Amino acid sequence: MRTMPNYANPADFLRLVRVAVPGTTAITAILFGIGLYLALLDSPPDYQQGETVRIMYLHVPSAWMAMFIYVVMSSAAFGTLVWRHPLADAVQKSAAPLGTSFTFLCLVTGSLWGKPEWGTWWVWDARLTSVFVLFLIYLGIVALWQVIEDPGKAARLVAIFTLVGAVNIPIIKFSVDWWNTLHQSASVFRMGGPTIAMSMLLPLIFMTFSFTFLFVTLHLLAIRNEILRRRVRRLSMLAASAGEAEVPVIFAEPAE
Amino acid sequence: MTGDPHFGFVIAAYLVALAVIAAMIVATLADYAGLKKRLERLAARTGRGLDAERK
Repeated sequence: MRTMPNYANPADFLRLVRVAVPGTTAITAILFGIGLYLALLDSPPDYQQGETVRIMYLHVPSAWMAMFIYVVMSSAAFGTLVWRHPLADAVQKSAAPLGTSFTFLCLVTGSLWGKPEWGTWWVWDARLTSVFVLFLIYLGIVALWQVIEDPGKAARLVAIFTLVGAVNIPIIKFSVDWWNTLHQSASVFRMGGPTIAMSMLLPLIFMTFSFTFLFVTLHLLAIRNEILRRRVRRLSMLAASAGEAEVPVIFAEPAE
Repeated sequence: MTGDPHFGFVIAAYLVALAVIAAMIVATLADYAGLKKRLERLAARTGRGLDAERK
């Protein structure tokens, strides 16, 4: 009788990665092809913003990914602290650099959009500042993984830090409602439906799914890397205890 | 599109996105290549190491 694969088991997870990644890579490439065609060639310029509206097709998906990845990390942090799930640490650790990159992209594209539309690269308003705080939190998490030598301790500390930082996610989302900001209020996820024209909503949806599948693909690959890093660490320690010379110590790895 | 006075900002945004996405992909693949090499070295030394990935 065939048994259900247990994806908490690293070997089963590696098999899943081997099967899933070619498919998610192909879907990502197709979605990017359609998304970029719609965003750059098919969608009309905005009647007020002109061509700069095309920056929205990068800025908005990267902003959503920045928050989505943090939610993924918070769920994994919960898994680390409450259930001690064997892959939760790897999920958390491997998502952090990706979240940092998407947040960086969100800030830079926002700045490039802000200069022609607002006349400034940056203002310290609630939305921009809370996203910048998210970027700093991501950097802090990446740094924590690097500086704490004991993997189990690192995983627990990062999990607590991640969950504390999660309070920033609703602040980002509702900052434009709670405070007067230069940043526009929500135009897609809002009561009463999107206010954006379908000709612009469609490329936005395709680019959002492209970014999402890109993250899924890279995250699967990064989790695989974390599993392999644990194995390298374990074997290095085995070799070291057997008295072999020149064994590199791979630190800051989560405990299995 | 190229006649827009802010066309440069659009190009810059897409170039930055390309660079960030390429960096994420290259970093992930390079990390994998490095780990695989290290595992192979350790496997040769200890007689274990590659089975987890091959299973």
